[in-house]
Amino acid sequence: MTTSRCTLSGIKLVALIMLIGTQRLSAGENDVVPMPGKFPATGAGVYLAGELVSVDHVNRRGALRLIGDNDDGRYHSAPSHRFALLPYGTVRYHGAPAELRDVPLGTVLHGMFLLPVEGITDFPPPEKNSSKYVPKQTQALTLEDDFSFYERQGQTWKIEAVDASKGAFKVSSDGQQVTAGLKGEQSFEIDASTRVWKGRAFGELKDLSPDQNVQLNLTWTPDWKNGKFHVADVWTDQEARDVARERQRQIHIRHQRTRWLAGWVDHVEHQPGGKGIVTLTLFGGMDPSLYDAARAQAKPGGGASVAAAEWTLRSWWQEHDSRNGPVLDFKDIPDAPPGSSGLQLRVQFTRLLEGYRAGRIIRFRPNGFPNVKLPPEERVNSFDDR
Amino acid sequence: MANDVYGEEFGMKRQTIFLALLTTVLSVFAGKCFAAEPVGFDQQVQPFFKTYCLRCHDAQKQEGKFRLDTLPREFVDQAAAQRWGEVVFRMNSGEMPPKEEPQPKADELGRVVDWLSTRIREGESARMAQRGPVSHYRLSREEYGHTVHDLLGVYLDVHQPGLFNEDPRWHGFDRIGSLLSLSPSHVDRYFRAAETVLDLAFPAQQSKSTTVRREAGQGREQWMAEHKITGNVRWRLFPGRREHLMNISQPGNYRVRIQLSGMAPPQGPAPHLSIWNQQLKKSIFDQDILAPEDKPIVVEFESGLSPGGFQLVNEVAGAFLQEGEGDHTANVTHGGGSLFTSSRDSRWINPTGYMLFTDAGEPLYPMLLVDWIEWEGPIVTEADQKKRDGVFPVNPAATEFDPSEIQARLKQFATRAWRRPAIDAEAERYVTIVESELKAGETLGPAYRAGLVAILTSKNFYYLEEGSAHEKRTTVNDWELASRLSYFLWSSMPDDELVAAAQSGTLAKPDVLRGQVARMLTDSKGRRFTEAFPRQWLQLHRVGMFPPDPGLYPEYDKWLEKSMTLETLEFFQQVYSQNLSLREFLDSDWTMVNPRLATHYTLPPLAQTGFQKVTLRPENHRGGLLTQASILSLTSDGTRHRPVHRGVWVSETIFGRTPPPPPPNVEPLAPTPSNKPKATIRMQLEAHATHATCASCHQKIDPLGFAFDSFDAIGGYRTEERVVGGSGANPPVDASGVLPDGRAFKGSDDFRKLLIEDLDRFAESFVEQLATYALRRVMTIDDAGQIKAIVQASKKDGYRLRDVIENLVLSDLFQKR
Repeated sequence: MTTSRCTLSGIKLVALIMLIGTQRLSAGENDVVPMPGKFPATGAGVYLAGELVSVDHVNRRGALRLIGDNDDGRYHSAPSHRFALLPYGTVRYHGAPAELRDVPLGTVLHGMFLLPVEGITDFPPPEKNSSKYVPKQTQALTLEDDFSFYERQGQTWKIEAVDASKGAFKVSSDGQQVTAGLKGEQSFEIDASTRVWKGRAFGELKDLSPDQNVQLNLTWTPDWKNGKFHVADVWTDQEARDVARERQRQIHIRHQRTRWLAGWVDHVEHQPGGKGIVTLTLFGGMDPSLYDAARAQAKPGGGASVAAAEWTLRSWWQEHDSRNGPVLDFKDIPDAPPGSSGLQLRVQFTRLLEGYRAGRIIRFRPNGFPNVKLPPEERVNSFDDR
Repeated sequence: MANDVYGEEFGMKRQTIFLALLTTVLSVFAGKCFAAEPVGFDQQVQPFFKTYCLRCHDAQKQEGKFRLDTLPREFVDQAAAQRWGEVVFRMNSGEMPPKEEPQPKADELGRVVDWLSTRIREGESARMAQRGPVSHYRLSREEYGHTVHDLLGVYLDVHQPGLFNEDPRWHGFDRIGSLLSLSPSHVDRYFRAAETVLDLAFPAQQSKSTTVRREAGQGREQWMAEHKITGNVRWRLFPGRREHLMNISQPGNYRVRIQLSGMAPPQGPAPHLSIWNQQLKKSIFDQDILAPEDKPIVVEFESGLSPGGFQLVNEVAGAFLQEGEGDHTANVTHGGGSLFTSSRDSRWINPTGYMLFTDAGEPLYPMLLVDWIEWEGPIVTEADQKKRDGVFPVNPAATEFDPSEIQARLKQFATRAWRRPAIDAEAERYVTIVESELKAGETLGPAYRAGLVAILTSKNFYYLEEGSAHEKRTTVNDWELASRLSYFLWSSMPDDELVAAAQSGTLAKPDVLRGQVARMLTDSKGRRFTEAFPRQWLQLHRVGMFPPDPGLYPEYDKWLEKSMTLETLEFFQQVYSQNLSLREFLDSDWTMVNPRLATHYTLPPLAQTGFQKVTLRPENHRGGLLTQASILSLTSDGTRHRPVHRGVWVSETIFGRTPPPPPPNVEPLAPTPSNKPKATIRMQLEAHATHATCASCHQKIDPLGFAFDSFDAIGGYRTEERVVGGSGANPPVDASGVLPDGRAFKGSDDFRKLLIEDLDRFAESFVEQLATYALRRVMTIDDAGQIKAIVQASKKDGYRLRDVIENLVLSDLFQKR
């Protein structure tokens, strides 16, 4: 892990919130500039895919080696594509919500990317020598491994032929065909490092046989320049895929219950004596049970803690710095835009925090979630950590 | 020879007989004068005794070995007064007459108790006012402080712990000579105080006045540059926040300047700057601050400061960081690496701190933003230095001295300090002290200082003496008159001009005295009178004695409490400086408020800080002293208003009449049970006033208090009474009533109009209180005529305050011993 210390990036971003918080996103374009406080329109961003080559999971940043396109120049000298997850950007792994920390280096990821937030040039920092191989879209709206990406769109791989002794593995797409990504007949490499998942147990290469419908996770191979991949994992049956998905879902739930649910503030209604009602929207992509837990607090005696957080979703000393108040009500907004859960809640506070301002990121803890101190490397400990 | 002897003997006998006769005549005369039957006893009391008491307590029968018919009626006599007090107590408590005996009606009993109580009080007053050939009036500690300032230019904080005892009060007055006794403890404290005063006036090393300035951004420059933060750093004082910003190492007078902004939330109170002495645990400066964030103001004041640390505090009600409270978020708001440059930048600098401003820049709480503080001192003004010049010998380091110089200097200092010429023999005693110190090896400086200490610890300094041991005088002499006058109006020693008038022997002449009074009334030291007299007359020391329950009155805080008292003092000062009529004390269409009180009274918000005159409208239901929050709160307890106490206060302060004491063992009002409808205090009182004695007194007292039932325990106006416990809605307030003379009123507005009809009566009471303050003794029946004369003289000018003061000073009463 490399923890980037971009001192003023967060500060500038918050300053930007104040400047452009009311502007609207243009929808459905590749050059969408994300705006704090506004979710992008459906279809915004460009599709990029590549192998995860570095991760700063604390700050939700990383880099992809974009998949080869037969270009020698890219093969020889292209820098990796550094990205930052938007605060409402989602990661899915093994078909379930995830964090970057859950995704091993070397995993091929698919994502939708937007342009940098206007005025924020600290991350990724500007290239000294601009490269035609690095897209301008650095802000990740979604990241998915192959399993999640293809399964979500209804596409599976049907094994056409397998020759373990030669490392040959030939598949063809089946089911709903994806519009971006791999489809049709594809040849991948396999070897003894390939993990075969069968039922609730490990399988072996000999368990792979033609006509099986499988899901794969791909990774690097020396011939990556020409769009070739090595198979890292194969899920041979539905039970194997369900086991993988459920395990990841539980990892995700455990993580979110201690890190709390991310969202942002939509509106603050001030009341005399420094009191106020904060309306907030939770970000999308989390397990539905977590949203249900939030909704369940909108009852007499129910409540939630809200901690101020940074653009990176990092919070300070959340169990002390947060304020708790009753959840007055909630609203499910239909056709929520990308990044949004559509779940909007109103929380009453006797005192407000500076971080409770429209467009600012918060972490939301429904009563009953653990109120714990985060590890020091995850917390914002000082001005310099932001 | 024999004849001569006989004749001489006869002559002596004749002389003896004459003297004996004279003595008899005089004693009879004196007996007639001083043991005269109090007027009204036969009419008011005797018939009652005959009907209800004497059957068991006369010559034939003495139940309980007590005989009432021969009980001496000299109420001036303490032993007799005590026995009469016992009689009143027994009747008041319902013990007498016994239940099986015929019972008096309530008004019958009330009249007798009232009459006897009045005589007992008059007797007490006469005892307290008794003067011997020489009267001694010890200085109160306030007066001591003012005196040493005017003598040596020294600022002595007489309230600092351990310096002086608190002076005893009689009905609020802390300068009554008969109460200000002297104990060994006092002598010890006077000695230490004298040492302190001389240390301050003549320090071993004269400290130079310096100016120290602290800016909020000091020491943060590099950090800010590294983090690319621009703008001026300010200390942000949210409610309850304290910043330790000033340290004083040398005691003395300091000039303090502070640049700051102060912003009130919409419909909220203004921020309040308090400068808190951490050692003495008291505020040395208080002011509401109103100045926009981008237009700070500079507040400047001078004060005598003792060594220690000083905090700037934003002290307002509902502060979310109280002293000692561990509020993590409040600590985050000001702590760690956070800093404040502007309400806009603070939004991103410290996200986990409390939100202090809205997006539009409006404060959510009363906010103070301090740029810098500067203090200069210790300042010794030319005027202060002049007071010290010539007190010390030319060369304090000398080991030899000229006795005549020392004697002259000590005599001169003693004359000033004692407020009358010191004679050579007196000065010689202090020269002896200096000499003995020198013999013990001291240099002239410390030895001479011992002489000065002795002068300041002489009774001649801390006592005002009036009269002569060897001469019977009924009036004060010019020196005594000068002191009486200066301690009346300035709470301090006479100045040079007054001394000169006394020295010339012309001060008692009406024209000279009138001229001196006119001069003194316009002197800035007159502020001491307008601070001390109303505080004592109105018993403002009782404000805050029972701090209200914060659950019932969350808006109450120390600054509101202080502002309440300040309103009354500023009101008095306004009447004084504008020479307005005493009528203003009873009702007025104006008052003096600061932003804090304007909020409390729901008056339109003020645009400026400090106390200012505001016009009152009928819908404000306020005017005069009686509707001021100070008066309304000092007559309340921690949870509720007390109509009876308000009535007693009005009776004593406005009408100069103290009601009889309450009967013993009165059951307190019980809280309303939760299953009973909510009831006002008035309703509860009326339900309980069933005892005959209670009813007779309460008929006179209660209406005076009920008139102000529209005001709660902290002086807030209300139409319904907030009742804890009970069921149903809070009951509406009923502030109507009927005065004992039958005049009816609907509420405090009506009541104040009725009071104005009694202006003459109030004026008489006021003059009595003013004379009590001025003459340092309780007024007696003997003074009544002269008081009436002063009232009459003042009436033609409409009872204007300064004219009343002048008439008092020019009266016979003022010069009477």
